[in-house]
Amino acid sequence: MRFVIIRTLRAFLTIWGVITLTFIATRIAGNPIDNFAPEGLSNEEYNYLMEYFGLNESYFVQYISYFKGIIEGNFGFSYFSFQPVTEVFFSKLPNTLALFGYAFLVSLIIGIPLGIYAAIYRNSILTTFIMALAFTGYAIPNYILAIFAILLFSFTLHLLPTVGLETPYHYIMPVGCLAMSMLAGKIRYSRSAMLDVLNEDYIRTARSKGLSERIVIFKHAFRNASMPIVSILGLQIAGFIAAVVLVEAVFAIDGIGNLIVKAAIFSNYPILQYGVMLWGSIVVLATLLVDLTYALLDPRIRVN
Amino acid sequence: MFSILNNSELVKKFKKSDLIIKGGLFLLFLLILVAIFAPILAPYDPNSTSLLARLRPPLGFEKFKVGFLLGTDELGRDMLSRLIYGLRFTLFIALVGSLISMTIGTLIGVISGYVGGIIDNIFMMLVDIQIAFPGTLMALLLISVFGSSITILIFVVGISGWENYARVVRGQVIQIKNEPYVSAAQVAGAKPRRIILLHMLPNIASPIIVLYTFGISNIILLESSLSFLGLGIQPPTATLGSMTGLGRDFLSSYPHICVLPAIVILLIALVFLLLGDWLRDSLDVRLQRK
Repeated sequence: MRFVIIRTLRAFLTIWGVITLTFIATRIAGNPIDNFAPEGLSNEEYNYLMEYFGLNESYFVQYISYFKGIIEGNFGFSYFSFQPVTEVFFSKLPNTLALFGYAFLVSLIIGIPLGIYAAIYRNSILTTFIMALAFTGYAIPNYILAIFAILLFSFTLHLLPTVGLETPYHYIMPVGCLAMSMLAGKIRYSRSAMLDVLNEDYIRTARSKGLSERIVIFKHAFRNASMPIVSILGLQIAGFIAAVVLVEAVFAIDGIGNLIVKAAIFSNYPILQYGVMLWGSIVVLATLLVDLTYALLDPRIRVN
Repeated sequence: MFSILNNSELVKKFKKSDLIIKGGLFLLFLLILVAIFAPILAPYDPNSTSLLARLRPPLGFEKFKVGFLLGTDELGRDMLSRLIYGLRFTLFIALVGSLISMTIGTLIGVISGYVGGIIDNIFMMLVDIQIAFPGTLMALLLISVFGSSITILIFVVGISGWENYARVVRGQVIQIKNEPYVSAAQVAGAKPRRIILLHMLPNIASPIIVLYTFGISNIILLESSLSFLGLGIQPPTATLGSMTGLGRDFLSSYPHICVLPAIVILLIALVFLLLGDWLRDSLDVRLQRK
C-alpha cells in the first residue's frame, strides 16, 4: 500500500513539474501577446486582449489561476480563435485517434506474430528477413518513409491520393508509415520477451512432459511472455507523439500533430501548454499503471 | 577515458566484424571527411542561385546540365554543394548537441549516484519529468518561445536525451561506489572530484560512449524533423532536414530536390546507429532499461 501511495504521489508530482516547467517556458520570453497581436492595435484593444487572456496579472497570480483553471477543467483559450483550448483539441482528435488507432492495430497484428516467430525459429531465413524489417522500421524516420511512399504510390503508380483523410484509400499510406515505425519496437520486444520465457525451466519441464510443441509455445510460453509485451505496448503508445506530428505534416492531415506544430509556429501558447500537459499525463499515467500492475503481480518490486 | 578508443581488442573485433559494419564505418568516415572539407569539395557556393539552370535533374536524366552533377533546385542552386554543406551543418549540430546532453546527463548522473539522498531524489524527479516531456514537444515549445536560430536549435537538441545518460551513469556509479578501488582512493584521502574523474569515469566510459553514438543518431533525426517542419534553421541556409521539407513541394515533378537530402539523412543516421550497435556489442555494454 505504501508503495502505491508513494508511486502515485510521485506521478502527480511529475505531472505538476511538467505543467510548471511549461508555464515558465511560455512566460520566460516576455509577454506572449506581443508575439501574436497584430500591428497598429490601439491601447484599448491591447488592454482588452491582456485582460481577456489574464495576462495583465503578475506571473504568480497567472500561475495560480492557471492551476485553478485546470482543476475546474478550464485550460485557457486559443490566442487566435478565442475558443477554449479543449474545444480546439477535441475537434482535431478524431483524425489523430483514427490514424493512431489503425496504425497501432496494424502493427500489433503484424508485429507480435512476427516477433514470436523470430523467437521460436531463430535461424530461419524468414527470421533474418523479419529482423531486417524491424531494423529498417527503426532506422528510417517515418517522414522519409512517407516521402518515398508518396513518390512510389502516388506519383509513379498513381494508385493512392496524397493528402487528407477523405476516403478509406487516404488512410493507407499514413497508417502504413505510422505502423512501420511502431512495428520495429513490437517485433523486437515480443521477440526478446519470448526468448526470455523460452529459456525458463518450466518450458523445459513442459517439453520433457512430452507436451506438443504447439501447446508449449502457446499455453506455456506465450502466456508468460504476454505480460511484458503488454506493458511495453502501454509505454510505446505514449512515445509516439513525434511520429504522429511528422506523418500528419507530410500528409497534411488536420489532426493534433498539425495543430501543435501550427501552435508552435505562431506562438499559440495555451494550445502548446495543453498539448504538452496532455501528452505528459498520458506518459506518466501509462508508466504508473504498468508499475502498479507489476507490483501487484510481483511482490519483489513492492519491497524495493 | 581514451584508453577505450585505442583499445586493441576493439581493433581486433573490428577486423572480425561483418562486412556491413566495415562498410558502415567506412561510409561514416567518408561522410565526416566530406563534412570537414566541405569548402574544398563543394563545386559551388551552396546559396548562389542561377536562374538559367533552375530545376535541373541529376546526371543520367533528360535536361541534365553539365557541371551540376546532382542537378539544381528551384532557385538554380547546385544540389551537390547544398547537400555537402547541409551534411556539414547537420553533423555539426548533432555532434555539439550530443556533447551537451552527454555533459549534462553525466554530471547529473554522477552527482546523483555519488551523493545520493535528497539530491538523488530531486535529480531523479527531474529525469521523470524529462521522460514525460517528449523531446519533440519540448523542442517545439522552446523554439516557439525563443525563435529559431542555430544557437537555440543546438541548445534545444542538446537538452533532449540527457535523461538517458543520467539514468545509466547513476546506475553505474551506484554499482561501483563500493568497489575496493574506490574505497581505497577514499581511504587514501582523495577528494570526491578526483575519485569521480580519475577512478570512476574511466570505468564507466563504455556505456557513455555507446549512448553518445546513439544520441548522435537521435539528434540527427530530431534536428532534421524540426527543420523538415520548418522550425529549424531558416532558409537559405541548408540543412538536410530543411532541404527535404522545402523540396516536398516539388516532389511530383522534380523529386530529386526532396529525395536526395532524404537519402543522406537516412544514410548518416543509419551509420551512427550501426556504429552504436557495434560498439555496444563489442564493448559488452548492457544498457539497462529500467
